[in-house]
Amino acid sequence: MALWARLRSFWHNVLHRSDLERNMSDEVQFHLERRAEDLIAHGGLSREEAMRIARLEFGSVEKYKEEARQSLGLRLVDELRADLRYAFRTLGKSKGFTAAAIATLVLGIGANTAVFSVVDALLQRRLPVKNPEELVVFDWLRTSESMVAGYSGYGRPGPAPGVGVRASFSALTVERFHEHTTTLADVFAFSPTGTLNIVADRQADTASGLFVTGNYFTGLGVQALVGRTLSAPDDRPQAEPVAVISHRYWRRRFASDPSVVGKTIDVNRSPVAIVGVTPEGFDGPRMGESSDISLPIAMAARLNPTGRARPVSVWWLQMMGRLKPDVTREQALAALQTTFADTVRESWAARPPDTRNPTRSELPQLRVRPGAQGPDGPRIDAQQILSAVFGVVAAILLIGCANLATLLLVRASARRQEVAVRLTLGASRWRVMRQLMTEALVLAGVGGIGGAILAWWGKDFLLWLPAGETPIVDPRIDPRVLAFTAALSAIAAVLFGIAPALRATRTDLGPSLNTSAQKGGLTRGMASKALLIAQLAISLVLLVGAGLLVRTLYNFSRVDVGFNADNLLVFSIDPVSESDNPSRIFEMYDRLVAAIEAVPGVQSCTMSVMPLIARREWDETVQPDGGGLPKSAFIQIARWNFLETMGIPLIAGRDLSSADTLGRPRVAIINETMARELFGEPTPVGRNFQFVNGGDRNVPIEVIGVAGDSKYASLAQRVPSTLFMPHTQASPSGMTVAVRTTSDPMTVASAIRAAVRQTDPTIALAGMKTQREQIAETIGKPRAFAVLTTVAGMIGLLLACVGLYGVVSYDTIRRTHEIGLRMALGARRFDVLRLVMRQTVAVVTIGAGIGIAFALTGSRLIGGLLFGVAPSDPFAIGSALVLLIGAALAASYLPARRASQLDPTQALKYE
Amino acid sequence: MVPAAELLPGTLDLLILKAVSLGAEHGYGVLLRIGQITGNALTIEQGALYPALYRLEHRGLLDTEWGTSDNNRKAKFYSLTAEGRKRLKAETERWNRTALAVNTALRAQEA
Repeated sequence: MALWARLRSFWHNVLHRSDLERNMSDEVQFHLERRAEDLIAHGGLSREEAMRIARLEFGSVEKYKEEARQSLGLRLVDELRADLRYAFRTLGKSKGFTAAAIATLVLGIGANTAVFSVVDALLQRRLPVKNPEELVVFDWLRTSESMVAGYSGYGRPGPAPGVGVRASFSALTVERFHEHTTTLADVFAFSPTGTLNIVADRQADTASGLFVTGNYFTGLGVQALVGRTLSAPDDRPQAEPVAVISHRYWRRRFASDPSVVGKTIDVNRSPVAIVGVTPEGFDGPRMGESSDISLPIAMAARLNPTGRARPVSVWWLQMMGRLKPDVTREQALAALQTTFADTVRESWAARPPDTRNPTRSELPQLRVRPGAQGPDGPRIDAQQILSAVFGVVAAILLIGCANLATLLLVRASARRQEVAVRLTLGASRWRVMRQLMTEALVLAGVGGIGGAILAWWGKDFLLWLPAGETPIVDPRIDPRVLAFTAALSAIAAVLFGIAPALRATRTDLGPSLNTSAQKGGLTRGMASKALLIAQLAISLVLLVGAGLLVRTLYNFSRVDVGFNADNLLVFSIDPVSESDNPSRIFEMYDRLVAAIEAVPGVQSCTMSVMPLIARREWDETVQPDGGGLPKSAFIQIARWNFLETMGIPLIAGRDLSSADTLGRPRVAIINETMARELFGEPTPVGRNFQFVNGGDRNVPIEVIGVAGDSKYASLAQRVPSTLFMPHTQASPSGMTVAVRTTSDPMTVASAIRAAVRQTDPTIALAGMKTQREQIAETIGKPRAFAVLTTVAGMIGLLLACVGLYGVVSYDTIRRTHEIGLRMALGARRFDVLRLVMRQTVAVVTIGAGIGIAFALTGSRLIGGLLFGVAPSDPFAIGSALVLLIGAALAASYLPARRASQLDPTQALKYE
Repeated sequence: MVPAAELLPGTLDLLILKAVSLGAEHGYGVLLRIGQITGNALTIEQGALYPALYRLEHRGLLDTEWGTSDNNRKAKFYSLTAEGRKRLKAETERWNRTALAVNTALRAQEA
């Protein structure tokens, strides 16, 4: 190909430029010498004379060399090289500006790249499985009339109010879909196990798990890295219990030891053999979550405390399928609709008759969704946070670009004379603009490289930022991300480079060449003023957001939780399995508490089913005696010393006691809110209530005491009706253990671990932290956003002030002559000050006005994060305004004061 | 001696291709050979040869190789590529057609 030959020759010559130049000289030299030899042979000339004539005949060597270079397409390269050299030289001359510009760009591009890498990992990447585009995810739309009741799984708000998207199905549906083979190559299902207790090598820990159908791995097309994956026979009720572990868990727990295959571990006290390890990168179909262990669904029954399989009326399995070649999702949906409707009716019919609410008569609507990224879930939740974070970092970059544009505009004005000279000497406008844009590109290029480096070590920091709900992803700085960085750098260069380049090369040569004296005025420098206004406005929006969030955090810190949250260590244990009888568990809990209380530095130890202020809720409907209206109440099932250890005051009646056990009359303590709302009296001690649903409904429970109000699930939630019942009157379950210590709880953490291990080495401790840390996690989002907006707002304000300082400084230098003249004519220092500051005041006023308008609409978007403060809080807006105006005036006061202290005689001579 | 004719634009490339097609040559050799095969009837500014050679090489019509000249000096030799040979044939035909047309036109007598 001719084009190919040209490209090849071009690259060869660009890369071997010095060879080319030397060869060209050699060739010409050879020509001249041969010509001279011929001339000597034919005409008998002297050598010098012959060479002279040879040169004359040849013509201008340099001209022909240049033509040769041009015919090789090298002229552009030469010009680019000259531009680059010139750009580096000019940038090197103003080091302060260059450093500020590069720092701005590194920060802006780095932050954006880091966020993009996370977004890319979470939202763009497909499941690392065979042909992910063939996969589909099934879900359905639920209304209050849907003929489905026993639902246990994930839900999301649906496309319309009152409609929810539900992702789990009955085992019946999975089975029928699997039999249906006209459109689907395979159908498989899975369901999270909840936290599993694992004992391996006599070490207990917790792991996340997934129950999967036997064809789950073959359906996804995931091969084992070591050992084998699961197959259909593993999923039979009598099959040997086996498990496949993830690469992540293999590395974390077994140090990537290949002999793990064949090892038997205890999963919730049942022995299970590990048969294989999945490849690195595959963490299950729910992107953003990671399942450590995959177990056959048949094992769910054995690991279930009741020991029974879930009935088909319970919808608990998420379902995915693989389309046959050339089948669309629409075709699959059409083919499956009848099957789905049949299974809905069948699983409804399987419910006890008295639980089939006749108003639920609608068939839910099945959906077949693209499955290349697995089910929606943590991905979508993180998307909302990430898009907000993206907005903030994009704002930083925009402010940075605006700032650079402002500074470059100032420089452009300063360089007009230089540019004018070049234009007059015959350079085309395009050529000069290209030169100025090269400078912008050099800055952006260096900024982009720095940004990529910053992002490389900043990406993990970013995942840590929205604490509490961190999805598991592996952000990678891969070619896609680098392409984004490069594009971003180029866009940034155009954003901040084009206006100054246009301005500098505007072709009114006359005045620039003739005179450098300029007149001041408001219409001058409209572009840089507009940019300053934009910067100030964006900064103000961020600062108002920061103010609102800081106030929110302050309000959170002042919430009275109703119990003593200091010096309290919490962790959870779940040693219960179906084979245990309750008295053994209660006895073991007693030993555990006694062992912990024996640790020096521990005051007391208690346990409860629900952790406090951990965003977990459990509520039931209760009915008071005497025919009062049934109301909802939050449940806390706890050890008898719970109130005392937590420091919740007992207001009336007696506390729970160790004698309140199974077989004794059922008792409960209620909080003040419940006394008021359910019984309508402050101390209803001695009265009864009962549960409306569940196995123990219609059993009267006596109120033996009233406790002070305390927060339940979160700081923001108002204290709900809460009842405390002794755990010895309920069925055994996993517990959150709370340890009251005399000093910093973390100092006794390892002693407590040892005490637990001594009591029973198979008990796994999970999530050990202080109660304060637990509370902080629930406000992780507003805290992260407070940090983010504060930092971004401050950076934005700082940049805006640097820009303002630059513009005002330049303005006063340009107007030195005018100022001198005014002073000579009798203007006082104050008048000069006012003259210079007048522009700043105008810019700041407009910027603040626009900023407030945007802040008022923008702050409503973060309304969900706020607590105890309105989005239009005048205090937050006011303090942001004071900060902005103060900083802006200070930034422009310095150059203004310098101008006012000019010596008029010096100023008049200035030129 | 008849004064040498000015070179028609575009014909230099054709002459170079023709000269090189007779055997690999260095730049000066190409110049001499053009003189030889045209009977020294055309003037070529010697330096102008080189931009043309580079252009033809850049387009992949000529191949170059550093070798030793007849007087044992290092010189850059040009030879025709397959692409160059094709181009020479096409250009020759085009030239002949043009020349024939122009000759016919010039021979036309007033009727």
